[in-house]
Formats: sequence, structure tokens, C-alpha cells
Amino acid sequence: MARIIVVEDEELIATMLRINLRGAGHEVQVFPCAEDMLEHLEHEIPDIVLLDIMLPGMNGDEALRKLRAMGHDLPVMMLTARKDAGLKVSALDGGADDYVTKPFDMAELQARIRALLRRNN
Amino acid sequence: MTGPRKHTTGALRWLGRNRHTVFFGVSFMLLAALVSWWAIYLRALEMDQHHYRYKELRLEARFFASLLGHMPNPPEDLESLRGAEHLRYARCEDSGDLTVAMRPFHPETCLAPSEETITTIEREHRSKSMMVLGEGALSLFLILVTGWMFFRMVAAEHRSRTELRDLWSRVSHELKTPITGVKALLQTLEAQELPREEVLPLLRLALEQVDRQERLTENLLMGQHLERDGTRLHPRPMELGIFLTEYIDGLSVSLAGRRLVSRLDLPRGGKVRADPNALRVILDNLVDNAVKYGGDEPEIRLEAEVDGSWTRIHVVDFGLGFDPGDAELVFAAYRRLADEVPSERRGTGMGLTIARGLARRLGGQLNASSDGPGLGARFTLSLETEET
Repeated sequence: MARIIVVEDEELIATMLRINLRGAGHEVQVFPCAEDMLEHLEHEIPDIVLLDIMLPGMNGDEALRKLRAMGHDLPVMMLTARKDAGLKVSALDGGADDYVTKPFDMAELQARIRALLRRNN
Repeated sequence: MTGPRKHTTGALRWLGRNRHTVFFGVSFMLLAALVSWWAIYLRALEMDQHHYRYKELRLEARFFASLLGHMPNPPEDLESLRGAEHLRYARCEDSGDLTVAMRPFHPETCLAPSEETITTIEREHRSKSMMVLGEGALSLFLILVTGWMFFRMVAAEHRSRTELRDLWSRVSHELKTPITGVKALLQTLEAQELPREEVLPLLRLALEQVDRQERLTENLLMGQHLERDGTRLHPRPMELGIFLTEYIDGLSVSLAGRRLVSRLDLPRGGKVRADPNALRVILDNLVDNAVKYGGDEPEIRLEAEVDGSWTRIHVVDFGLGFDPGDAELVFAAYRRLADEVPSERRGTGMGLTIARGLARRLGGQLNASSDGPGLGARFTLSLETEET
């Protein structure tokens, strides 16, 4: 299926995403910070990135802009607990393809991932 | 978007965000300009009046000079002429600018204003000028002070709103994050069967998240109570050694793999006056803070000692530390000096504020010190030693 990168510093959420996405047949790699993910992108390009916004060090918003500035046009889905419209607008304007607020429904998240992958293909 | 257009849009956004400050700032400036202009206008009016009085005096003198010039025997004393009490005879060289107009046809004799008249005119002019200038300066000062106070009030209100928005954003994140993990775990367990050895560590993580949420809720409630000054504490003499030993044994704060090393240098039976629940909340927040900012160092220390009439409890970490000048800033509500901590250890920025508030309510003190960034931090809770 697809190669998915998850950038999430909350251990339980990251683990649950890994278990569920692997269960759906995807290949999953988890990074606890954005810097590690950006470094990884220099060697390997996944099919989709799930990016948390509130991360230690570089936040998800900055990481997204950096990723786009590097020329990657892969689909990026932002994950965050914050619902304010300003943040959503900023993320979508910054190049995000989708925006999911926590706590999310695992089935809905997977459906959104499938939709993004379909659009990208 | 092009450069100048971008700048214009940015300026318009800034104006939109700060419209109240800009509106009141401009209003106060206009008011100050109006008062200045009014004071200048009144002063000019007073100058005109001053000149007019001399002009009036000159006309009066000219009239009497003409009158005296037609008298065959002019009186020795001018005061005998009705209405000429402001004038006196003077030698023409002493009569200043009145000389030509006020020659009453007596050789070298002119009319001049009396000394008393000139003194009165000048005194009134000085006093009115001073009054106008004083009132103008006072009004300007009051407007500027009011404007400055108002500006500070608006700035404080703006800061408070920003802090509150920031707090709610953090609270929302802190509340939703554990729920997200636990919900994802429950949904997964509902949808698929996982091996027991895989489930157990996940359950432990989920329980940690629930503890974290419980602590957050307690802190929020405690913060709210403290703000309203409604927290009822019940200080009583308590044996600190026993309390601390029990506290360490039943520690509810996650140490995230760190080691808590204690050194209790307390006399047997040594007591302090405190409320055990409040003391537990203070220590929880201090230990939690040490875990958050403990950096890569695995050790946290909890020490206690008696120092005269004070009993001191130190919570020491060897992590991120802070600039010694920021020692008070760490207790400011909703503030965090470093964002480099992982988010599972981030909080609302209220823990230390609450801890200090409680320490003060117990009649004690809570202070922080650090030798600098990267050199760890020491938080010292001082409580009054109970006489035995």
C-alpha cells in the first residue's frame, strides 16, 4: 500500500497511529520531531506525511513551509488539537492538503488518508 | 503579492488589530494639541489686553493734556482733575513713550502714568499670564498622564487577553491530547485483537495520560480558586520528615525515567506548619517542573533542611536552567521559559504560579535560582519551623 510518515511526539498517539496504519497495510515510520522528518526526506520520499503542529523545537507549521520550500509536493495532513480557523488557514495556505483535529476518529482518519492518496495518484 | 501592497496590507491588518489603541492614542494627542492651542490663544488674548490698557492710558493722558493745555491756570495737583488719578506730571524725558502725546503745553512738562497704575497693570498682567500658562500646563500634564495610564491599561488588557487566549489554546491542547491517545487505543481495541504483551505497555501509557489529565484539571481548579482567593487551607503542625518520606514513596508525578534522589536532613520530630494537601500540590508542581526542564540528566534531587526559624525544601534539577535574571519570571502565570520540551511534558504554564501562591498562603516562600542556562535549577520552598 502506501509509505506513510507520522511526525508526532506523543508516544501513545504515535503508537496507535502506527498500529492502525500498519494494520491497514501501510508502511509507517514515526518521527518525534520535525527536524528528523526533514532530514529523512533527503533520502526517501513517502507517499504521505501526517504532521502534528505542536512539536518540540520546530513546529509543524514551520516544518510544512520548509518541506514545501524544499520542493516536495507530496500530500501532507496536519494533526492538531487546536481548532481555531486562523491556524487552519495558515496551515492550508502554507501547503497542507488536509487538516484533522484531535481527538480524531481512527476510521475517519484512515478514510481521509485514502482520499488523499487517491487524489495524489 | 508585491512588496508595497504587502506592506500596505500588513499595515492595515496592524491597524485593524490595534484599532482601539490607535483611536484612543490619536484622540489623546488631539486633545493635548487642543489644550496647548487653547493655552496659547488665551495667552495671546492676555497680551492684547495688556497692550490695550496702555493704549487706553495713552488716550486718557492725551485727553487730559489737551484739557490742561487750554487752562489758563492749570492745577498743581492732577488728582483735583476728576478722572486723572492714573496720571502724574513728569519731566518729558521721564515720561517714556507718552511724551509727545501728553504735553500739556507747559514747558518740558508731560503727563505720565502713575507708578501705582503701572505696578497694578504689570502685576495683573503677570498674574493672568501665570494663570493661563499654569492652567494650560496642568491640563496638558493631566491629559498626558491620563493618556499614558489609559494606554497602560489598554496594553495590560491586551496582554491579559493574549495570555488568556494562549492559555486556552494550551489547555485545549493539554486536554485533547490525552483523550486522543486514549480514544485511539480504545477504538483500536474495539476493532482488533492485539496480543496481551502489546496491550499492557499501551495501557500503561494510557494511564499516564489519564494521570496527566487529572493533574491538569487539579491545577486549573486550584489556579481558579487561588485567583478568587477562595481556597481554604488548613495549616496545622505536621512532621515534615514523615510527610516527605510518604510523599516520595507514593509519588504520583511521572518521573519519565528519571531518578528522584532524596536527602532529608531534618531533626527527629521536626515540624512545620502547613496544609498537607497544599504541600503535596506544591511538591507535585516542583517535581513535575524538574522533570520537564531536567534536560538529559537522569537525576532530580529533593532535599530538606532546617535553617533557623525556617525549614527549607529544595527540588533540584540539572537540566535547562535559566538566566539568573529570570528567577522571578519563572513564576509568572502562563509563562514558560523554554519550548524545547517534548509536548507530553508541556503544561499550561500555571504550575509554578500555583505553587508560589500556595506557599504564600501557608505563610512561606517559594524561590528559584539557577547559575545560568544549561546549569540546572533549584526551587526552594521555605516554611516556618514549628516550635516544639
